[in-house]
Amino acid sequence: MTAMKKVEAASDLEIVITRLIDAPVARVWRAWTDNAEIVKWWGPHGFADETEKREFKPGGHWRHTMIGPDGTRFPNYATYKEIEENKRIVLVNAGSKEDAEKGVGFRSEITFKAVGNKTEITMRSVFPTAAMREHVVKEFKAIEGGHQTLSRLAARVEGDFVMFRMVGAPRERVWRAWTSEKELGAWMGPKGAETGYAKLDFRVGGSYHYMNKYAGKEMWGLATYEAINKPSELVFVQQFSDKDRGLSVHPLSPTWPKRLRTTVHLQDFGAKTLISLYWKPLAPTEAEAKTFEQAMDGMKGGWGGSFDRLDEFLKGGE
Amino acid sequence: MVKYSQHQLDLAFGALAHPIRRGILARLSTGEASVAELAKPFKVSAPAITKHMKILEEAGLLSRKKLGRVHRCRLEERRMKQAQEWLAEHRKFWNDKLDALERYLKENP
Repeated sequence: MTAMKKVEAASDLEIVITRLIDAPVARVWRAWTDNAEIVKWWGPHGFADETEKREFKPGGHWRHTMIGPDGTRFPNYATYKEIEENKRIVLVNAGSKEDAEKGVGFRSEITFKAVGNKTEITMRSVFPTAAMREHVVKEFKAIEGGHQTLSRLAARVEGDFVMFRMVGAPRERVWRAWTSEKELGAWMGPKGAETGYAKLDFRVGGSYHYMNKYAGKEMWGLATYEAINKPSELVFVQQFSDKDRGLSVHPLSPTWPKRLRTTVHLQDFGAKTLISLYWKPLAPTEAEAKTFEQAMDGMKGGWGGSFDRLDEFLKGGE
Repeated sequence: MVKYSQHQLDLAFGALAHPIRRGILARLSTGEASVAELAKPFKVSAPAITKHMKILEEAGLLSRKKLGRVHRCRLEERRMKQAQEWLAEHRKFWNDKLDALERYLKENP
């Protein structure tokens, strides 16, 4: 989330969003062009995508519905105009086939640029009128939503863990639960554990140092705050620790990544709050990266299909 | 929580990383089978199948016993469950935390 990103208000008609993604162009291109992949990350935080059909070729269409975290449905009808492999995609976005035929919509160009082994991605949308641009910025929060979409894309190709959860409390209340010593201790510890020690020094560079007693054993942890943007964003690095704040390994799996960065994003939905959570291994060794990947991804994705039956069988055999 | 041997887990995940070996395990999840029955759906040679079965055996995911002249193979559920539990424990970390946060917010509005 701290990766490079910026908005240029270059003109009253454009929205330009860029992000540097830590993956090669071919990997990012695949996430964008593979029908099964794009639906897993497309859209802002907490969105799901229902695709009716997608023909990724010049003149082809993508008819799909984006479903917001509060259940609101947004129909979409896109027409691909130009496709240059690993370089760029040009399309026209409309709300429906009828609108597309009437010429109501806006044009987007997505460009992929290799920066060393990384990819700089740029999404440039051009609107027919300044009023239409204004409308999508205000009504649909298109700029924030665009950043969130690229952040989900980055997480997917960089192999981070992402989770969204709508909770029934206002954002200020949720922020307090994440940022007060007493409250953190009340919900953060493992189930059935007793909080033996908790010390919060809540500032950038400060930390949350804690100990849980679990089945007679002491388990120490340390979280160091990297960014605090009240009331919407919190970034901290977690590690297993000891009473002297040292670095320790996972007591049950020694090749679990030693340091994990957690980014918590809180979005206001009135009486509710959307929590978006990103989890990223920090400078993992090869074994740590593999362990994290196995744990987060093992049974889905490439391993799907033949395993569903096995899963059911094992559950039945409890 | 169970303590897992990293070596055992490495063997298990290495074994699970091949589609044919996953296919063999999926077939065994429906019941015991002979080597010939297991080999049938895959268009590979008998020695190739034998090699895959050896890897599954070494990982402790499959066991064989001889009945007359035929080897019967079965899934070693315990080891398979261990591997799955290990994955699940890590994967549900934040899910459990957010469950706890929701409960906490409900009780402490």
